[in-house]
Amino acid sequence: MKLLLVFKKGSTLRWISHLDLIKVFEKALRRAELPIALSQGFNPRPKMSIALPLPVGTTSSGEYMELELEESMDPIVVKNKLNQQLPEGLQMMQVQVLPERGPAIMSVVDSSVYEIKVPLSEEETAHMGSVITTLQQKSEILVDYLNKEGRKKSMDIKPGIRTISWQMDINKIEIHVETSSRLFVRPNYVLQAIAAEMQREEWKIDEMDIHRVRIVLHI
Amino acid sequence: MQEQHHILQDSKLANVHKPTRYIGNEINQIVKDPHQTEVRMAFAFPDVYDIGMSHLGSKILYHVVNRLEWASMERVYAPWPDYEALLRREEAVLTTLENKTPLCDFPLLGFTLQYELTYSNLVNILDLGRITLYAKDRLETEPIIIAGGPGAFNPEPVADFLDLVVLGDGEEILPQLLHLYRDLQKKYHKRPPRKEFLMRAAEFDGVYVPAFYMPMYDENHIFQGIEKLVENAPLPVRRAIVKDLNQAEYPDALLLPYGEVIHDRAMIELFRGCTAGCRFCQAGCIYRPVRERSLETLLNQAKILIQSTGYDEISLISLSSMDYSQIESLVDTLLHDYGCQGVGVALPSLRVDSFSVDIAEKVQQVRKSGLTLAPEAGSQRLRNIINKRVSEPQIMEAVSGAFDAGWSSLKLYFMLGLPGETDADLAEIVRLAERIAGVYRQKKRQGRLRISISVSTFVPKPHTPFQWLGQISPEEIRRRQQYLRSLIRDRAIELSTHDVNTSDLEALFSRGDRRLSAVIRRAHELGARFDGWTEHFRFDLWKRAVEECDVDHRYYANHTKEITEVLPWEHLDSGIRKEWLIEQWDLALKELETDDCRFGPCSLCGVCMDYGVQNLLDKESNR
Repeated sequence: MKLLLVFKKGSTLRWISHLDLIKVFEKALRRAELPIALSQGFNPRPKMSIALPLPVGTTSSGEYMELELEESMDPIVVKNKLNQQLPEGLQMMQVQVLPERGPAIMSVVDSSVYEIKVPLSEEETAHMGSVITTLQQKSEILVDYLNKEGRKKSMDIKPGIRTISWQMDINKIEIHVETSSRLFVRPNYVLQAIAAEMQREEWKIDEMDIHRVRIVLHI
Repeated sequence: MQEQHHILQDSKLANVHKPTRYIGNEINQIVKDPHQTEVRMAFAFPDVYDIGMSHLGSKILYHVVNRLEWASMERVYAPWPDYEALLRREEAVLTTLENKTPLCDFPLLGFTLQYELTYSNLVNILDLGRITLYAKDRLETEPIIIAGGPGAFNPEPVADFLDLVVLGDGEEILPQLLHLYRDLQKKYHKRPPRKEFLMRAAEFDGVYVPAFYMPMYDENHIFQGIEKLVENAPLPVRRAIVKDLNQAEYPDALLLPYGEVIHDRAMIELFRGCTAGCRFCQAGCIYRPVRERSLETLLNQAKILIQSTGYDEISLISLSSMDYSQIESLVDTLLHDYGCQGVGVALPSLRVDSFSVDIAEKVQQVRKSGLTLAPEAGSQRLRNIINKRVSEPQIMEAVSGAFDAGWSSLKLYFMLGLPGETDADLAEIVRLAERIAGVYRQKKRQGRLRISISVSTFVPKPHTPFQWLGQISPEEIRRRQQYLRSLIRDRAIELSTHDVNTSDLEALFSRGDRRLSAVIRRAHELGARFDGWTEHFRFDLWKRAVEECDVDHRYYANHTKEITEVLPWEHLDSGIRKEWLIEQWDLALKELETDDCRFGPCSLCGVCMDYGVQNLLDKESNR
């Protein structure tokens, strides 16, 4: 039986890496004594996968985990048993049954929605709406990034931006960006473009409060 | 009114390399409400989280204290330099992981002394925790600083920083100290006077209060003995011993670390103490006698731990696990009960014999790893001197068995600078490795052979038969290392040696006295941190601190003391009698072995007579 679980990762747990998260889940599954299907081979691992790694420091309320059980169980029981074994800040929110022969969860990630908060001066707050409108109207948004070899590269993120909006009442930027294997727009790329448009220096790494609201799948 | 200290904002962790070292919130963490807890203690491990979270002793104490309803223990580890820089930049105080409480706000703060080169970290933790460094300068509102662990058997180099030192088994003495603190707190309705607490604590076996004793020196600055400053202070100070580990507390859950830590697996402690009698080994002297847990106790603990942690590996901890009287039954049962669940068994140390290799082979059915053996010395003569009772035929039989079982990668541990060592003995190390390579090639097996020889430098340790000896000089260490390297011809043999300056500093502290506290304080001030880590070790800072404090490094590290000399740690009783140590030294000179008293006659080390204890084996030996 295959299950899809939605979980949130918040508070101090945002500092644990993707690899750590997998370790936490593997041990939690063991402690929960659920009939998890194991992979074949010399070093069997639980058949469990996470849709999209969450960068260290980012919180989320909509991560996906796919889980395979050896026998059928009430999905709600699975969710509750697992929740009893998770540290504070990590929680399974929803669960549903997946078809046995569906595509792997990782292969169907389309895009992500983020809420971002950064420190802004009064003037910057007042201008944010128009800055974002300007960005939306551009035909190309070039940002710098470091590739795997550590070399500086430039890319156009415009095709990957689905929506971008300024939530005036809560002083947050909401973005919906493509996060697929075809095009991956990181939220800090968008922040870089905003800073450039505002002609201010980029926000420091400890000033960015980034929250993934949900992942959009194309099933 | 207590000062309010700034606590680092969580978001600032984005600036450090491994933030999970500082967040706490691990599975099986115990967080108690500070306002509902009568006695709060912080426990500091003076090395990085990755090391501290691998340490079994800390986990035992965490459990022992937190199971007391009215007491709590919270953890803190040495901040890695990037995190320290962040704390200093933000003017934030070092806190515990559990409640983010500044260290200075705890009534009690304990350290474990596992390794000499963590001493600068100890000072740094006090400093970042906003605690006055020297015990004599501390205010009544500041924590009482406690230290335990193997380093407590010569705590003199750090004595000026400590209020109280715990000798021996912590699970025995720590609850007694907390009970005492609680009683006095009830009497005073607030933090009790430090002096009164220390006076009463000193009545327990295993408690040493450095301020109650004054070291004496002659006009040539030679240590002349210790003088009591308080009439009721015990002299010598006795050690705390758990007589029967089956009755002792053991964690029913282990903290699950985040990030990559050194040992990330469930651990059961098979026994404490070791009577193999290796003459260089401090652990073999200060933890006597052997106290085994029963097979039943261990299997039960293993079951509980696997359930409460979800670990897929269980490590069998002790000073020499192959000597556990029920090792075969234990390994067989664990493999039988948990193998099908994918839970493996890890053996941290093997004895150099075919029996051990057979057991290691069984364990491999679940997990594959390298094989490590420790002959310690290359020649039979030198092995006799150090009482490492293993013969060359035994070594050959063991490696032959290992090759037959499919291993092609071996790690061999040796020491350099052992007493009586000549170049011929060193050459024997290489010859032994070559003979082992020969055994492998005769078997004409597939797969590339790799023999890694790891040669550490011998550091004489207090309370051992070699405690009087100086370490060979740094120049001589270098020469012998080069000599060894020059002998390596075989491409399958790989040699690694220890850093000379590191060994030199270890030797300074190992047999140090109280005058070294000033050196440690000064080195810390100059910036010394994580001295056991190559990337952070700054020997130049230590050299400068030693010079400025007018300390003769060579005297401490390399001077061989007379048997008649008073030793700076002699007022601390490990349970071993001095006559036995002298006798062992004589036997070493004569190149004669001494039996393990588990299997042979009692060698009269004294601990059983003087402490009313005995070797406690689960099963009569048939060796």
